[in-house]
Amino acid sequence: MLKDKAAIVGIAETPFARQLEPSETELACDAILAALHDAGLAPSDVDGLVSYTMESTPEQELAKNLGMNNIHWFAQVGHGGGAGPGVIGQLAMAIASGQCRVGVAWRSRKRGSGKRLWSDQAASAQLATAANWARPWGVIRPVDEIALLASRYMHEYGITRDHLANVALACRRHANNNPAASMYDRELTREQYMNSRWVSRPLCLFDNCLESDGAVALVMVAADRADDCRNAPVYLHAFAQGIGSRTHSMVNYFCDDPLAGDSVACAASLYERSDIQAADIDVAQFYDSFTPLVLSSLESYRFCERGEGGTFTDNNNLEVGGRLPINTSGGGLSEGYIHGFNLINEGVRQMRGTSCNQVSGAQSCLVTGGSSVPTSALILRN
Amino acid sequence: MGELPLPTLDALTRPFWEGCKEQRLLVQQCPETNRLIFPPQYRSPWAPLLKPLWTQVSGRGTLWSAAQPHPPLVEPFASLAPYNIVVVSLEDDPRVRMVGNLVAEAGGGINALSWERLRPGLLLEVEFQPVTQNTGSADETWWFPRWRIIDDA
Repeated sequence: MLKDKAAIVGIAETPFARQLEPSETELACDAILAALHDAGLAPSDVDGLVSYTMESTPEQELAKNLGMNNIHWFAQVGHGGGAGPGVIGQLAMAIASGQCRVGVAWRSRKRGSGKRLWSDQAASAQLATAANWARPWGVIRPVDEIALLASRYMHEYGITRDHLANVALACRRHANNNPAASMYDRELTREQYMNSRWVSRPLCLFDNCLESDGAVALVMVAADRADDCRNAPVYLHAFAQGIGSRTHSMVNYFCDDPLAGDSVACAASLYERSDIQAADIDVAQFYDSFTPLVLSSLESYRFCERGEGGTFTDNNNLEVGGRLPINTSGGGLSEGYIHGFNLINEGVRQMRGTSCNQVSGAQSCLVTGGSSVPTSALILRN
Repeated sequence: MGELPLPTLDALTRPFWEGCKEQRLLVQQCPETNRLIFPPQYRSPWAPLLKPLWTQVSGRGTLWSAAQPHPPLVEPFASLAPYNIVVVSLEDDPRVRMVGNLVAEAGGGINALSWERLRPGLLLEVEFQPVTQNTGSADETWWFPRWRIIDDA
């Protein structure tokens, strides 16, 4: 079992902004050096590197820039926003099996100032189902792909725009307490949400995550080495990946039960491997590229019954003091969208007790990857 | 206006588009269970040793879901916005669905219907609309399945 065998001992991120000057490689260097400093370790201590397949900086570029001359294990995880917790889980497996002693995971991305992937047909064509069976009819952007699922979800369960707004507003209020968040000084009201422009109806501007430049990094070691580090260790208690039955990435309209996607499969094995179950979890960081993904994740990860993800969000339940505070740094919707990796670091801060929106006495945190793609999830504990 | 983003024509996709040219809507079928399969696959998920066959379906279905893209978009869709995108559940097996567009009348555009008309459950019938694209050396006509409302009760 992987349970509690590896610990996160260092985290860091660059500033998040619509446009940053340094390249993705340089941003990655900055975040990794800061995460190693946070851990009290040096680049020469690092022997493992793990990242998303969509990462643009190859391992050897980082190694040569940072003087990591001792790399003996490296791996990547696919599926875009589904990768994040999977990256950390793969690293934990390498550490638990002795293939790696000090591992670094990172994500660096200039989505804010770079071009939109959807504007380039060749780049988008990497997903064959979308390219052949959705895009020709005008399902062009990720928001269009998710709008078709969200529209059915709202119809089937009576989910309203007020429920989606609850997610956007919770994330924004958390960001308003987090000086590192892109939306720190920008308040959002329900009225602004309701009056904002459509992007892909039924989804409006504030149902979409930010477009950000930035990098995030994390350092992991074996649990029995973690006490030598500067910060209290945060243990990876459970980890799982999942692919649902006959699902299609992003355009998941074609299987028997499209509204129960890859996350349901992931959650089943996650809880099977965990002593901590949904009812025990104190705080969650849900992948939030679009607000409806948070509602369905509440259901998939068993915080409520199927179809009740909307009403669960009422009464400020997603905010600190509510039933399940989520995305306490502001998340992809209001802190920065670094492909979900900043959600992992916020989970670590909650376990350290250092979040800007600290959940008092929190002892466990769920972190999830994108729920509309082959996905992954973690349960962290302190 | 830019060109439509056309699908890749290969062993898996070609029979569907050949069918469209003949005004026939084709999907795959599992030779073992007779269950319909769409989008096409190399093997049947219920009998992975067998290759699916192609079969014609009725061309009727119900609206499963609809959305309406607004700018920013790329051409040719930017000029049509807001237009509709839909998922249609096929009459022959409602578990089998296709992405498409709704049109208000035969040969009509994909941006003629108001958002309020796009209600799940609407009964629909397919039609095939010609789309001529210049592929560099010659003009090429594709027949795109789109859907008309046949029961607006």
